[in-house]
Amino acid sequence: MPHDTELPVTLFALGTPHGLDQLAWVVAGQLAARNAPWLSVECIRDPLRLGVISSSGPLLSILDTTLDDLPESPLWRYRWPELPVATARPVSSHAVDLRYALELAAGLQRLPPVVLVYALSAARWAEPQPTLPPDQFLREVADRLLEDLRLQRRHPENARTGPVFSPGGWACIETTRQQTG
Amino acid sequence: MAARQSERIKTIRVDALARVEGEGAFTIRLRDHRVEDVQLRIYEPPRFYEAFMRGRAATEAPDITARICGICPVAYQMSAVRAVEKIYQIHVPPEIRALRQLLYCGEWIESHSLHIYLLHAPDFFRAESALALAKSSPELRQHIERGLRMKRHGNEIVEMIGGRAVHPINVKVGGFYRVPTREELQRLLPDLRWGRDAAIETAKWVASFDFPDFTDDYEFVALQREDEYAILDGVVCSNKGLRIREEEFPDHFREEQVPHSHALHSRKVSNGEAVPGSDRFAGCYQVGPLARWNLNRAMAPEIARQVEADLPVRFPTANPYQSIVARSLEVLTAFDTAIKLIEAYEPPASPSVPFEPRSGTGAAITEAPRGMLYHRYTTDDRGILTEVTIIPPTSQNQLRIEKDLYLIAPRLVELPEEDACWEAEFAIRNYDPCISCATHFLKLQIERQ
Repeated sequence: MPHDTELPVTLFALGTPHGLDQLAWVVAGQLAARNAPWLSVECIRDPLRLGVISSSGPLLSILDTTLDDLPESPLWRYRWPELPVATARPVSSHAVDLRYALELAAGLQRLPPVVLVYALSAARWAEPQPTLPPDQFLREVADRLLEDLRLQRRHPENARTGPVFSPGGWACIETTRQQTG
Repeated sequence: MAARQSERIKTIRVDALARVEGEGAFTIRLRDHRVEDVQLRIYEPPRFYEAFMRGRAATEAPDITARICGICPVAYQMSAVRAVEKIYQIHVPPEIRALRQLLYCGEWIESHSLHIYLLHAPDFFRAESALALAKSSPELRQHIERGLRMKRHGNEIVEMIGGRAVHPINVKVGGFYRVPTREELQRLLPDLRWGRDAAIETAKWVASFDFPDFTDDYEFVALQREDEYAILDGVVCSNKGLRIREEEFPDHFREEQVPHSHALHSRKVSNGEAVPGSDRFAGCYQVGPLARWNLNRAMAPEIARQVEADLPVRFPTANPYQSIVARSLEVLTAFDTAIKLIEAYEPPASPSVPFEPRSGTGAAITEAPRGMLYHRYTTDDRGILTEVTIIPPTSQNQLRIEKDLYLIAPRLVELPEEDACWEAEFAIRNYDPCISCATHFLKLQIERQ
């Protein structure tokens, strides 16, 4: 295993410039601004893009937004192929869901050994009175995500599915809000 | 009595179509192996675009109608701007027209590549999906990889000219908000040249498939031009002698409601009336790649005609399963046309043509990936829409799809349920119907009485 500083990580932020779907791109923009030399960030719209990538390291990470109200933490790490939701209609000419796109990319032998899918819950963020102001919330998410990627890339083979904000998750954010209040 | 007792009623019903676009289903009812009825049911809720656009400015039409479809928003934008520009008597310069054609080529490439590789090709291998296909052999895996890359390059054209790949935002009545520089477009050329070669390989590959032996006496309808493979405009032609202007479309085609579908059915009529003594499928016709290639292949780029000449499939063909070959030749046409347009590109003096709103009625048809897309608008003197009619290609193909199912139904009844379901869906997928967001798994039910 090479030294951890040598392990590059690619993060694909999946989304569009619209509404809640842009959250992953906003976080990606903040990550890019952190100047982590080991992290390469790219915003993509089409999950099928994963079928033509050339992964440069042992770890590929994806950030996507979900409308599900995730338990404990607004940001969850899933180690593929563990993904919580399978849509009934995975492929059509309008949309290809992430799970199917990843399966296809794996079938095309495009994926590195470890793929982490980070799910960012927009559910509470979108509430009439969000837990945190949006920009502050997303900065917090970017910080936690960067820290998690830094940890996971050291031993990607040990990566597991679980909440990124822990312990306490949402409560932790609430505490942050009160402190910065 | 005895005969009646021995009568057997069988209903083949698929509640959710797979690898097509949208919420659709179909039912085939047979009595003693005789087809009683065939219904392609589109149960996706109606979206009322034509109603809620009334009262909006005509200049909003390109962006509003683009939202009708995630895979062919360019088609909606092109039909919309052309219809409004007819009302406002706007004549865009050739440079603007060339950019619109290029944008449309990008949409054809992405839409067709996706359908060929991910939605339709698996049928010819009896594979559940492109994923299963990719896993089945290294050679097939390479084909799928090629398709994904082709699609990506189509997306890149749309993104470059339209501002973004999905629901582009750069199209406006009179032209564009911004036009790309020559250098920006030329950066696309290496990938497009790769795509042209890949499209040739695609055509050879899909033409080698085993096609079910099925033909009918189709009426193929498409736009036609004498100087190019028609995408943006033309006269409406058919292989049965039809030749009309866009404005005459309502005189020859009529939309009607049917109880089993939320989508209107379109059929060809004579002077606005149904053909006397006609059967249920009278006036059905086909639009889309097969219709276009059958009618217009002489206007295709030379490279596409050369490739076609060496294929084992002969055109014109009345076998709808060979639509995948026509689609592949259109991808080749789109790549080649895009390359030539970029090589010849000179930015227009201005991104758009100024205009003043006025009252009037304008109709326009462009060739969406799935076939002719008709828009007709009426505005008042402030440029506010007072009437809107939009007829998408799937509405036009619906009756023809039902007739195909009607014709293959007697064969289906002899098949095991799973195979019958597969065969029927296969026939539907020939048309790449766009209903909206598709399903993957099917529930087939055969009712016996």
